[in-house]
Amino acid sequence: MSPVLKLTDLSVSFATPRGNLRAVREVNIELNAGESLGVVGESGSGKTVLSRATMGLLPRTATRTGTVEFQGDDISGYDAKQVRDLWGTGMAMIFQDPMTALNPVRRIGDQLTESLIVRQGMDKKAAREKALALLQRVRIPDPQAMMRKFPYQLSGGMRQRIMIAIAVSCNPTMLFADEPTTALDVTVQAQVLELLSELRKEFNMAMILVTHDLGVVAGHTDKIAVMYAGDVVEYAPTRELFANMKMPYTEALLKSIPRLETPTGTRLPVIEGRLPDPTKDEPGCPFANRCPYVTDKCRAEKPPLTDGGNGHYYRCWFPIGGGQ
Amino acid sequence: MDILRVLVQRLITIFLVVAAATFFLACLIRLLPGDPASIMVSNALPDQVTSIRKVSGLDKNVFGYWWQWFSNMLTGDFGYYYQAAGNNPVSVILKRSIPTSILMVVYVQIVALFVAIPLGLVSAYKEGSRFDRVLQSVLFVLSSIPSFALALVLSLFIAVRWPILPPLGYVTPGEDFLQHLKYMVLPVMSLAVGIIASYTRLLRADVIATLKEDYVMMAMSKGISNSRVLWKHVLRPSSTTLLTSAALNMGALIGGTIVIETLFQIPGLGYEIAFAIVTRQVIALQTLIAIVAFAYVLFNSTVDIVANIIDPRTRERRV
Amino acid sequence: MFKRFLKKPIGYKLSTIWLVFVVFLAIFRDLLPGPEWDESTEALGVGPFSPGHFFGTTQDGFDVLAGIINGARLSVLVAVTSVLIGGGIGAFIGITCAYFRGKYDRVVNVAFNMMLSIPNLVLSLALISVLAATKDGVPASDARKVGVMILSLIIVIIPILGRIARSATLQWSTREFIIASKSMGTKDMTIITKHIVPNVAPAILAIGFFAVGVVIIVEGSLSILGIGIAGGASWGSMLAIGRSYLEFSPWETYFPVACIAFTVLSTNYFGDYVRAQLDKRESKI
Repeated sequence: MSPVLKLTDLSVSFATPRGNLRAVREVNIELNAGESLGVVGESGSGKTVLSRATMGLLPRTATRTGTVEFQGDDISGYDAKQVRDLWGTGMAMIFQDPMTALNPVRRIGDQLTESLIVRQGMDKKAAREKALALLQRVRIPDPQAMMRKFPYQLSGGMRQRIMIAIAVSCNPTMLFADEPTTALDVTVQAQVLELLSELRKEFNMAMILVTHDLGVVAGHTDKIAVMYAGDVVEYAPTRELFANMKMPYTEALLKSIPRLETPTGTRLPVIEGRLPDPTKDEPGCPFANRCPYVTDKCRAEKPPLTDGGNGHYYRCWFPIGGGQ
Repeated sequence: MDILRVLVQRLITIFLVVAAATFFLACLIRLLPGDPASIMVSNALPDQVTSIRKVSGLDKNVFGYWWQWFSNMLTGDFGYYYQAAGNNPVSVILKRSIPTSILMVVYVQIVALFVAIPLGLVSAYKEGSRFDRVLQSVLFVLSSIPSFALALVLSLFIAVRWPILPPLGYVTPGEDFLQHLKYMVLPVMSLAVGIIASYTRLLRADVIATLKEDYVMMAMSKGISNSRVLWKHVLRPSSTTLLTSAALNMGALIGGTIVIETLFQIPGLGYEIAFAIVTRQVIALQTLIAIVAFAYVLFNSTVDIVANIIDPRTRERRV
Repeated sequence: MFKRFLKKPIGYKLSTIWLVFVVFLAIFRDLLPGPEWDESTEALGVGPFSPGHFFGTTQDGFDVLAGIINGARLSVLVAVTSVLIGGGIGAFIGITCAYFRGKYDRVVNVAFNMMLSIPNLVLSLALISVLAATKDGVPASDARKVGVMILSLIIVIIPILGRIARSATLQWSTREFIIASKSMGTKDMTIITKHIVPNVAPAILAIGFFAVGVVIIVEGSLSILGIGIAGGASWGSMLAIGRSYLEFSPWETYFPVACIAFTVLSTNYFGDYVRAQLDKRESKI
């Protein structure tokens, strides 16, 4: 079976006044139907750009190189019209902030039925029926009333459910969820993630879940790609990654998550230092100046992506627990 | 009832501003060198002057004069044109000139919005492109050309040299609607061009801001066409500023019509104001200016309501 | 300085050149060669580019180029004096009332709103018709008319610039450095001149440029309405006469119209330019 999504050497750079900003650097990823991938990294790591670049939702200042294969077709050469035909029906996206991603001046019903009418050619009545069913599916109480509401009348969790309903309305093959729970309360986060997992299985969608929180991806993904400064620095099946962590960066990310069992008042470890300047290409490992295990070799030479077996790849000279 | 209180407050403000503006005019009139009554009617007989002074309240002090005029206005008595041959009520002129001016202003707004909205949307969408840059320059030039300059150029080329439209005059829509429209084309164009330019620039700026919003990318990711995204998702949240200034423009436009109505001999409010000034009909002038000021303040105050309809978010904030 | 000028956008260069040219005409009118503007010649309604009359002549035989050169003086005089004086007064009132607030501010605000509720052309029309009224059957002299026009335009401009100065000052007077300065016992007038004026000046300058355009358009409009400067002594006056002969000698209308349009375009350009610079500065803060 060919993968639903295959990224080969995908790179994205932005033309900025300060120079060429390399946001994503030669990323290779494969994803099968129904499979879910977590893309993890701190802000500025390129994870959001990666998902948008895959869909082709980039501003004009961006340049994308490498290939994107979707359902076996190379879509990187598609023109705007061809790409647009994929959106909604082939690939759909859930945006980070449900407060800003719904149009404030249009009713929920209009926003929900739009794709159904425009993309699937349903008539108004059929689209309404389908929309009501979708609202029910994402567990919204009183769908009838919801159709007539404006986004400002809803809580963040409700809005995120609406957005999920809109995203899955045309049964996409592939779903991108960009920090879908960051703006929500912790209890609501769990519900939304659970809902996403259910829907993914139900519709057999492939999913890319972008987040800064390793805890979020742990229970809801099959594979994880950790990104740092535009590079995928660790790429492994979820189970393997947590059992056998190789990258000092991933370890640091995991340590910075608050845990229930930590006593109150404990200071969370933070990753000291900042990301390197993305407009410059400095030699050495980009994480070198923040890494606790840094050596001279790390500063001098950038480590390649190494195959550690079991589908585990990492980009480090001195991986935790030794090399293969 | 909050809405009621706001409404009452608005009405009081309108009332006060119009009262103050007209009192200011009344003071000006009393500053006139010489007697306003005899200025209005040349070669008037002494007893005629006395009767004019009495009818118009000019025999009282400034405040008494203004109050008589103002309270009369509130009861529907708009004063008179005082002429040697007799007094003509201003209300007769108002009945003809107010609808004429309103029609003209409405046409100007319709034409301006009709052209400016697509231009603003497209130029914002293509921000920085050659089309956008050229359009911005052209609009800047157009917005700086005085409407009378445009009127003179248009009337020479379209009405005189190449007579497809009447050069001047007016026909009411009741008499002959087609003719009415023909007479309206040149004046409306002269006024609309500059406004199109400023409306387009306003809308463009707001659309550029809206295009950066997440919900626009969200709409695009549904795979719907760009024009549908622009018209259905971008236009409405971006149009508050445009419609606000369009509403504000209504009053200002009535002032702007003075020269155009004079050039094209259209009997609207502006034309009557100019006529009253030239013939020194100070009482009528005061009434006419009061009406323009009233219209201006009224539109000023209704802007919020317009904004409300467009953007439901403000509905919530108000209640 | 000249090198910096060459780096400016083309609109900046053209606007500067045009405005310098107009001011040059206004100042050196009497030293320039060519026919007198108010002496009729034999050539009636001669087209442009004819020998001796580069812009042609009017139906009454006046040289259009000479009229344009002469008209520059009145246009510049009216525009510059009314905007400088009106803008100065307006800015002073606006800044002080926003700075001191209280009753003074409320009164000024109502007065500004009242004056702004009358369209500027109507207001100047009313003022001129009152102030330059015919006295005992004798029309007011041209000098008096010019004086009255400047005076009424000053009154029109005061609230326009006053309101801008007021809102700009309101924005600045709550910033930390002003409050800090106040708390150290600095005199109010020192704070205004040292801290407020330099910060609100660009906003006032931008609107001041637009006000010049407004004044020039109002001057032309008043002439068309028949109560401005008469006899072709200003650009507005020239086109007011010329428009009756539009069919026969359009050039006597088009040259003054073009001059008015270029001047408004240039001052609007500078208004826009200053405002864009201001926005850039604001966005950096």
